[in-house]
Amino acid sequence: MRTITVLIRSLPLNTTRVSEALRMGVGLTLSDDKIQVIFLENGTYAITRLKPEIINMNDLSKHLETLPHLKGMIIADQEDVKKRLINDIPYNVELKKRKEIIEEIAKSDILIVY
Amino acid sequence: MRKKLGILLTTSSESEDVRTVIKLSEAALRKNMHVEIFLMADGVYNLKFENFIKLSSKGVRIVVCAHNAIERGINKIDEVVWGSQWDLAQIAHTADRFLSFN
Repeated sequence: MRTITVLIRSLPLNTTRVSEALRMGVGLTLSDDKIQVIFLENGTYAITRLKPEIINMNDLSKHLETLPHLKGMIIADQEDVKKRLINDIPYNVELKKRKEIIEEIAKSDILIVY
Repeated sequence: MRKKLGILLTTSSESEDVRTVIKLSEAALRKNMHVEIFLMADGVYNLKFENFIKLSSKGVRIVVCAHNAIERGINKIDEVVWGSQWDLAQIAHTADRFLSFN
């Protein structure tokens, strides 16, 4: 089993890239690898309650809800979340310190950065 | 057994990534590696880029996320596999080295 990390650093609604990264994360679970999606910096806005349909953008929530059901992990940087005053996190997200996140990245076999 | 290089490409042909992927793939083929490229998001526009598609005739297996291609109005061509995220999961699972260009 490999560990594949999808690292998301960019704002969730500027382009469709974040929703595509999440769709990819869900798809990667099809090979029995360990999949983890890590949100850093402005990417952390994706884990709060959003209404992308207002600006005709792709839905993120279905991927964020599905991933834990497929044994995928969702992790966010604790400090980045706090700094952006993100309090409402309706998904199964594990908040970790930056040092722990660096360790997760270092242990990964494959890193895909968005 | 031949080693396998897996590549994820999500950018279109204006990006320098595409030239890098072409040159990397050619170098890997010269080392007798098997190369598989998965195109998704704007990477599917490379189906219209002749220099990229030529990789197929050199022995590179190119797989396209059909969902992304259809939503961008890109038609299927014979040189590529019309695939899905399952194919990406297989490539990532089996490659000896995996690189992503986003």
